[in-house]
Amino acid sequence: VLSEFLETHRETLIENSRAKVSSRAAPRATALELKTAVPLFLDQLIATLQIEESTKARHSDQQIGLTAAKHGKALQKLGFTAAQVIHDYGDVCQAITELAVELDAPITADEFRTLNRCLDEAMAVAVAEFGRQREMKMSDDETERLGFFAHELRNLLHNSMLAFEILKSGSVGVGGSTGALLGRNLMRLRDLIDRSLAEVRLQAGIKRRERVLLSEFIEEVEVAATIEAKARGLQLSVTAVPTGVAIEVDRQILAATVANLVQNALKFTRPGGHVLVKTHADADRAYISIEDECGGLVGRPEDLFDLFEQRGKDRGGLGLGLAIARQGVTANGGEITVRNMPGRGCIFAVALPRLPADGLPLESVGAVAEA
Amino acid sequence: VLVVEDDADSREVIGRVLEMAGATVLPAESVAKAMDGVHLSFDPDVVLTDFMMPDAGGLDLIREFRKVPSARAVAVPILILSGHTGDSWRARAVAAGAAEVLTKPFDPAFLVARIAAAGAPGRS
Repeated sequence: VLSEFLETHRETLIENSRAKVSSRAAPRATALELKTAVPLFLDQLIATLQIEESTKARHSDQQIGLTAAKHGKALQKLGFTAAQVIHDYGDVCQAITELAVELDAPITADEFRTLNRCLDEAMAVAVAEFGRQREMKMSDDETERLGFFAHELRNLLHNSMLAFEILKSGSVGVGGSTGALLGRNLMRLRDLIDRSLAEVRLQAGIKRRERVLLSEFIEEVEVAATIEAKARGLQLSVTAVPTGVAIEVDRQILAATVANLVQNALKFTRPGGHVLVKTHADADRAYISIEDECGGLVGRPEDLFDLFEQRGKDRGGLGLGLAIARQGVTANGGEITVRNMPGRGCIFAVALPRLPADGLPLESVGAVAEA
Repeated sequence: VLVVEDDADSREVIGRVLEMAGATVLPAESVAKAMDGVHLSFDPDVVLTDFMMPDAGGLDLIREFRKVPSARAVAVPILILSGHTGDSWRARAVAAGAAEVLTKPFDPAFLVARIAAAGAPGRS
């Protein structure tokens, strides 16, 4: 009987299944998968087959469905992907079949059919549950982000309202520190909204790319950044931009992306410090770099691009800026890197594909964007 | 009034509102800085603190204050303010001993009135 065969050879089957799981190229096996998932699947199968064999009925579908749903949920929580779940079931099934053939086990075609049916059911339910759990988690993450966003908006609005009331009382002048505070908070409100809109636009996907001259683009960035640098009492320099260099980008997304990087540089630069925006180009690419004086990074520089990563005392912002910046650059076919200069600051560098010298826009831009 | 708020702009603008109403404001950017001040020379009539701050929050401040070996410090009314809505943080603040909880954004006149009311009973 199949269930007895599985029980007798449980250890061998686990070993063989693990060998299969660990030898597959993709999705790559994790230690947890080998330790936890493989015996789980096998024991689940044994239990189901025992029910099936004792009752000769098909209501075991329901049984395996229930346990598979539990496993789907547990596996999602452990961080498994849907592909891992499917492959693990498949690998266990293959190990059973191969061992049965190797030992010439007296297993009937009917029993193999039952085994297949159990596996089909287990996979379907586990994956469906896995998907449901993932959607729930995404929804929770979204709610949390919306909460952060609303909280940040409220703080900035609160500061602005109080500053406005003080100014309205006439006891201080608009040109003083309260006026500057109002301006600063309104700018932060604007940046927060710009950033959120850029994110929405990124999620919707880039639909429209256009030819943009690097010099014109940097000029726009400089205008906004100069106002902010002044408000923060910092020095901003923009080196001469090479002429005739064109890029093909979604202007709005790239502008929000570079603005994010500059705002970050201004936010983290020490009082009285200096932020430098440099550009250059080679035959294939245009480069924009933003150098700040934040004092150097703590931790791994690449982690800065993770969602909600927030460092430093000034928590103005959602920690979304650099994650969006990376998405924005990648969506425009470019790359973003960060270099740490311990004790001094860091340099964020954006590399974008450069248009040929004739500067003609590419054809069928929509198709490129959607691909 | 001791104002404990990690956001520099909020600290400045709240301080300005209270000063305009005639209060003497002692600003602090963290619970630790506030308590340092209290141990040195701060002797506030009222404390206004943010609920959530990076290292320690408003509830921690209440606990710290209640440990100070001074009858005045132990009895000082502590008002908590937050950008959060909902009842859970409010209930936690009241349970911890907050005199009042205020939700941002609020009108400056409202803030002044609540601070004055909290500081008035039995005080000069």
